[in-house]
Amino acid sequence: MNRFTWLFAIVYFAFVVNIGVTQAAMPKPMENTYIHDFANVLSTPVKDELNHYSEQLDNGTGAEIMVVTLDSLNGQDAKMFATKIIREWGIGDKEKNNGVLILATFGQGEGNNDVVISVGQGLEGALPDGKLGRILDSAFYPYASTGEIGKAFQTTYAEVFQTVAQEYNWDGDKPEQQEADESMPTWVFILLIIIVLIVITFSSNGGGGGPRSRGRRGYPGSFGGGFGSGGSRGGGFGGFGGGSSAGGGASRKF
Amino acid sequence: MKKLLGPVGIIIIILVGLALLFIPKYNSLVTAEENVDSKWAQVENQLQRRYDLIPNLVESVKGYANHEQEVIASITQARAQMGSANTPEEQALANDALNGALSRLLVVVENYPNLKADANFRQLMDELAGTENRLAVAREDYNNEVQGFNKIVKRFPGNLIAGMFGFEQKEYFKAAAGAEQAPSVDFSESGKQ
Repeated sequence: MNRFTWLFAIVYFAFVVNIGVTQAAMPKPMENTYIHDFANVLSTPVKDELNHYSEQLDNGTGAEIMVVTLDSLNGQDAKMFATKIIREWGIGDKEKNNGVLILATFGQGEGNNDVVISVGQGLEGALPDGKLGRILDSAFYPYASTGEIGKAFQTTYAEVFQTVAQEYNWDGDKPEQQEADESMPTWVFILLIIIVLIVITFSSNGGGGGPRSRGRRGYPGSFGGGFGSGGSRGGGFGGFGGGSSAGGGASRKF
Repeated sequence: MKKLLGPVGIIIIILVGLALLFIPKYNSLVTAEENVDSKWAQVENQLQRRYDLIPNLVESVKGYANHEQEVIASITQARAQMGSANTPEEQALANDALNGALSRLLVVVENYPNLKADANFRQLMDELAGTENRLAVAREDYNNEVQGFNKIVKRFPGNLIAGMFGFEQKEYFKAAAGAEQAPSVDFSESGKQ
């Protein structure tokens, strides 16, 4: 009897400890956001911007793009880790398995940090491994290697977003796709925007139609309410649709 | 007559009881076996995909590093081994051999910056590494299903049914120790080029 109790206790303990270890390694998702900046490397405007786009895309297509930053993977394989997050959190639609996870670490030392883009089966056709590798090379690495973390995520995110939106023929609000080579200086771009704004302002004055169109690229949710982003929040977080992944993706060290 | 009905009735009740016990078990065995088979198909898909990617990889390596015959030969050989493998165990072994050969290739590639920066080569290595990850996922799913299936086969009354209808325990797809970590593609330096 006593021996059995001991045995039971040992087995039970081993089981509990085992569970404890896996849980410690796997971060828990936060509610109401697609951007999980556990490593604290992203500024609030960047997080809000990316979260806004993910929310629009999720509401429009059911595809979910999530961003996760971590200090360290504690030696685990980056792609496998990302695949497990997609599966455990259920990123993407349950039927379509169309989740994307952009994950990077920042506490493993320069040259040893992992960055990985992992996709569910539903998007493997639009985002094959080779393409994801190219996106990491052209959009993530150039900025991350010079410390522009926010920019690295913005450009990488924009590339992924465009591809997913294209896959679903979704023409909602899209993030700017920044060219890696700066073919157009920023001031030219700003000047163009100002000119466009002036033209819009003048042309709408005549008609008297649209009330104070401020040239902001429309948040679909805010047009009726006039409350700005507060209105689109109402649409709510549709995250964690129960999507899975077969392990597609690409990774780099940086 | 009534005396005879007693024993016969009992036997019928026992038979019905056994049938009620066995039929669901039998069905669950069939379902479990189908699950195992479908997961195995996933594993084979990924193995096949690796198999198909290798010739392209070898070609692009030859373009830049033709005199690295030893590595090229070991990759080709591992691929041939994959092609002739039949059982999960053989396939696991062949796959490990391929992983070993690819790791050696990654070491060699360090000496060929042009190859390392080649878009085609990078894409192929991404596809291969991604396939390796998919394989790891498929392998885990398969092994989980095998575990469930084998549990039924070993336990009562599943073991009786399995014996009667010829269900045998399934083989795990085991990776060699150390093969858990896929050969990772590290392009950090060449990313600048």
